[in-house]
Amino acid sequence: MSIFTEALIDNDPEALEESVNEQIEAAFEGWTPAEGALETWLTKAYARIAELVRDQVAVITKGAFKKFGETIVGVPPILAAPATATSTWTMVDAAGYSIPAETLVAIAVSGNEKLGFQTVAEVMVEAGKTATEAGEVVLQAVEAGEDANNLTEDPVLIDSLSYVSEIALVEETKGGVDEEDEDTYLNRLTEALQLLSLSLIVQRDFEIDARAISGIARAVCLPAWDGKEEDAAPLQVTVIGIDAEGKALSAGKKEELQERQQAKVPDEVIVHTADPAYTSIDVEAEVEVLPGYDGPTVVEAVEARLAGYLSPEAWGLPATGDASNSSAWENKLKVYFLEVVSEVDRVAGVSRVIALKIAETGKALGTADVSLKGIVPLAEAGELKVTAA
Amino acid sequence: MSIKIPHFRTPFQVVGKSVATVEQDSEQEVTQCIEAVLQTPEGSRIEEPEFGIPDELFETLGPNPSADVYLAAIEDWEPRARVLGEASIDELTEQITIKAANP
Repeated sequence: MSIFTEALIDNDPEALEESVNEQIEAAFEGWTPAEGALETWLTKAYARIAELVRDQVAVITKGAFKKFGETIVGVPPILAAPATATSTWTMVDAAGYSIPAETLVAIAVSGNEKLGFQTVAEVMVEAGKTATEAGEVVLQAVEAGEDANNLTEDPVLIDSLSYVSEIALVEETKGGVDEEDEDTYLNRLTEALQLLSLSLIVQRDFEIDARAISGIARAVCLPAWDGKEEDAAPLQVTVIGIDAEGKALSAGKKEELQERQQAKVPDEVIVHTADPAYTSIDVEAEVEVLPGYDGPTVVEAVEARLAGYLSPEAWGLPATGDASNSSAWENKLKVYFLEVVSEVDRVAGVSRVIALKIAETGKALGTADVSLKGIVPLAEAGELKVTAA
Repeated sequence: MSIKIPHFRTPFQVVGKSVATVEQDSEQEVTQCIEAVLQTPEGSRIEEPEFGIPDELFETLGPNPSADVYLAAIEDWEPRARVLGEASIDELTEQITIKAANP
């Protein structure tokens, strides 16, 4: 185990003992430790044990960074892999044989040095044939690593298969990889981390960065748009943020966002902020209630479901996963009729949706998808009228 | 009488749902600390190896055991006890009598 560093954890037993004594003194004013007192013995004994535990905890191994690098930074360590090769096996006759999986063979490296290989899977040689197909038997090195690469000698059986007369290597062995040692991985991880930039480059960077400001729950970034004109505006981005309730940001918050992000992009890039557009949606639905369910309760549940679905708080969030902690915002431009039907149909107690109509508030209800206003729209629940049959 | 500043009673004892305690600086508390000193061979307490009395098992040349050794150990480890300088050892029963007072 190679040690990377030791964390600054106080492991002085006298300091730990002092800390415990201070806590007892805080609980019992006037309390003083006595060397012969039982609690003093216990405190000193536990302080010594804690010292040992803290010594262990303080040690940070290089291996710990492999887990960090793989899971947090996305730089997986290079793991050892065995070399492989294909081979053709010839039998003593055409009676039909089976070459079991994990049959061991040896391939000469040089002189009398050999490396072990084994068959990856069982291979059948049908009756009437005296050999496998060319390269049909895949061999894999028993020990992973690069040492088993570039071998060309024909394999020799280690396991006793009396019906095998000859084994021929079709190609040289290849693909063996040594496991990356800890120092090499740390160097590679360090370089990868140096490539990470705090500058905002792609849309997703702006969206994630916006959430760093208190009060901004999520944001969507539109590239090549100045927030006003619909024509393309090169080297300009517009970021639209909302709070946790789906409300547009205050002027001060938008200014804070704009200044923060402008400072994180090259000079020629201009960052704008804008508000989303809200569209109120009316829904009229008739549902059949399952036997055993209370009609008014189901109607109430359907209305609540629709209100949630058509709320700016949830609009555009991913349908699966932990939406409450998600920065994802799919810029959905339409309320799709069939999605609304699906939402209603999923409510507990609803047997089927008999009829359903949707429309932008103030317009005639229908069964068509409803386009939302604006370039970054959010839906709002308008009049929700649900009846149970 | 309720105990204002508690210390564990030795030997450790659980009474009902609580732990038996003695009042700090009381005669009982100081006495049990002196007993702890006299019953602990030096080196047996890892955290405080000098605590206790020397193991005189192999000290065959001098007086065995020495009352002065006990008095010195008490003075070292239980400063609350004022040793009166009287110590006697009954060699038949191996009982040690030491007079000390809580100043």
